[in-house]
Amino acid sequence: MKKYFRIWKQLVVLAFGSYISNRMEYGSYFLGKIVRFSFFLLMVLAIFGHTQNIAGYTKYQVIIFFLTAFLMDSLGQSFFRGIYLFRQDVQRASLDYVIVKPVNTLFFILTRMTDLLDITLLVPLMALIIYAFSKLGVLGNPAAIFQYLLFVAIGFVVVASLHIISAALTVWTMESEVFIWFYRTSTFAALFPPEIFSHPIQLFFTFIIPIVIIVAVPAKALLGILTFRLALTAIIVAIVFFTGSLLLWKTSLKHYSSASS
Amino acid sequence: MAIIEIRNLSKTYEYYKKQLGLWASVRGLFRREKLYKEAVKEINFTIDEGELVGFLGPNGAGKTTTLKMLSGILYPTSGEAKVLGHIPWKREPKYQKQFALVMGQKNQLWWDLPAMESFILNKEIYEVSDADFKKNLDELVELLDIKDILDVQVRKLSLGQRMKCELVAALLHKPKVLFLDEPTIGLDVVAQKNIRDFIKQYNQKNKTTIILTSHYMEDVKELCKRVIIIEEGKIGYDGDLVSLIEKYAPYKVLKITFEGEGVKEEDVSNFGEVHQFTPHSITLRVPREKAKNVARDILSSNLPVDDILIDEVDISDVVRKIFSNNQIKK
Repeated sequence: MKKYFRIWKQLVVLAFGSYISNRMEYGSYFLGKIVRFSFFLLMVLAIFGHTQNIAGYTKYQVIIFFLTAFLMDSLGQSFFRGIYLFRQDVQRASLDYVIVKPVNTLFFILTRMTDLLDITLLVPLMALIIYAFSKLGVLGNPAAIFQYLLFVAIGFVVVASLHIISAALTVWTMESEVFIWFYRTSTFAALFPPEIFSHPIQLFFTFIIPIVIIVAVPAKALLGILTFRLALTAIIVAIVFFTGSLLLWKTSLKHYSSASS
Repeated sequence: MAIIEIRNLSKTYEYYKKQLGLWASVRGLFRREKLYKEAVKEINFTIDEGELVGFLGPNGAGKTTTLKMLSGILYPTSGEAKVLGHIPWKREPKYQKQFALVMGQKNQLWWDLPAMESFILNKEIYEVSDADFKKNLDELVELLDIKDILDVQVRKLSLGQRMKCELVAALLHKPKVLFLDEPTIGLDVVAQKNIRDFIKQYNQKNKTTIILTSHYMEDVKELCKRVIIIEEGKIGYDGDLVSLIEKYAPYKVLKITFEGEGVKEEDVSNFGEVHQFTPHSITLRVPREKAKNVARDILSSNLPVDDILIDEVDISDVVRKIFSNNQIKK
C-alpha cells in the first residue's frame, strides 16, 4: 500500500511537470471545462425560468443531480485520466514497458496521468454542492450527507469499473477507447433526474451504462427519496461491474499481443 | 548454471484479414477472415549466467516475439520457458525485479520531463533504497557520461543521449538479466560505439546475463561470443560466432595491393576466387587452410606486390548470405 502511494505521488509529480510543459494546451482545455460547466448550469437555470419543477423535482433538487453528475465526471477524470492516453500506449506498445514492471498494470495505466486541473475543479464544485445542500436544508442532516457520500463512493466504484472495461476493450481490440466516450456522453443524460426518461431507458441507464447508479442514487439518497430496492440494486450493480471489469481486464491482458517493433 | 531455459517455445499470432475497398470494409464489419502467423516455432536454447548472447535474424524472424515472451509481455501458444527459475508470463513481481528490457524503438521515459523524474519513478516501482539508488545512479551516470543531461527534458535530447538514459532507467534496480532489443538502432557510429562499450563494461563488471538483438553486425562482433540465429521462427544456428564463420564462410580474404603498373586479372585468378579487382588492388577468397600458402606463393611470385593482408570474412556478409540463400541447415 505504502509502495503504491509513493508511486502515485511520483506520478502526480510527473503529471504536474507535464502540465507545466504544455501549459497552453492544458490551460485551454481547463478553460473549456469551465465554459462547458457554466453553459450547462445556465441551461438548468434557464429551464427553471419557465417551469417550477422537472419531473416533480424543484430547482435545487435538480441542481443536486446536475452537480453530482459533474462531481462524478470530475472524479473519474481526476484519478483515471490515464485511460484517455491508453489507446496510444497499446497501439505503440508502450504498454510493454508497464507490463514488465513490478507494479499492478491496471493501477499504473489508470493513475498514470492524475488530472490536477480536474482536482482543482473539484474545489468550486464542492463549494456549489455545499451551497445547494444549504438551500435544500440538509446541511444540518448528517445522516443524509453520510448516505450521499456513501453512494458517491459506490458510484465511484462503478466509474472505476467502466474505466477498467474501457481499458480491457482497448487491449482486446487494440483500437480505441470508444467505450469510455460512450459512457461520458451518456453522463449528459444524468444531468437531470432519471424520471424524465421512459422506463426502458431508465433500465438501460441502470444496468447497461449505469449512470443512474453513479449519479441519481447518491442524489436521491441526499434528498431522502432513495428506496431500499434502488439502494440494493446500486450495491449489486457496483459489485457485478467491478468484479466483471477485473475479470475482463485479466483476460484481455492474457490475450495482449503487443504491437510489432 | 542455466539462467534462461527455453523448451519447444512457440507463438502464433491471430489477426484478421483487412479487405481493400469500401464495400469490402463494410462487409468486414460482419464477417472477417481470421489468419494465423507462426512467429516462433518450437525453439529451444539455454543461456548461462553472465553470458552475452547475440540473437540474430532478419525482420519478422521472431527475435522480438521471443524476447517479449521471456519478459512476460506475451503468453506463448505452447512450450516452456524459465528465466531465473520463474515462468515469465506469470508476471511475478519477484521475477520482474530481476530483469530489464530495453527496446531501441520505444521509450519508457516521460517525454516532457527530465529523465531524472522517470528514474525516481522507477526507484519507487522497483523499491530501490535511497542508498542503492544513489550508488547505482552515480555509477551508471559516470559510465555513460550523462551527468549534464539529467535535468534536460527528454524530448530535447539526441537519440544517443536518450538511449543512454533509457539504459539508466532500465538498470537502476541492478537486474540479473537484461534483454536488449536493437539498442543501437538509428544511432550514429559514435553513439553506437558508446552504447556498445557500455554494454561490454556493464556485462563484465556485473556478470549480467544479456540477450542482444541487433541489425548492426559491429554490435554482435564486438560483444557476443555466442550467437543464436533465428529465421522464420526457427533456430538455425546456436553456437560460437567464430564457428559460425568457419561453417558458413569456409574461406579467408586476401587483400593485396600492387605497385607500378599493377596486374591483370588473369595474373591472379589462379591463386583463388577474385572477389574485387582493379589493376592496383584485388580481393581474393581462398580456402581457410590454404590462406597462408597462397599468400606466400603470391609474395614469392613475380607480381609487384606492395602489401598483403589476410583477413576474416565480414560477419555481416556471412549472415546476409545465410539469410538471402536460406542456407541454415534445418
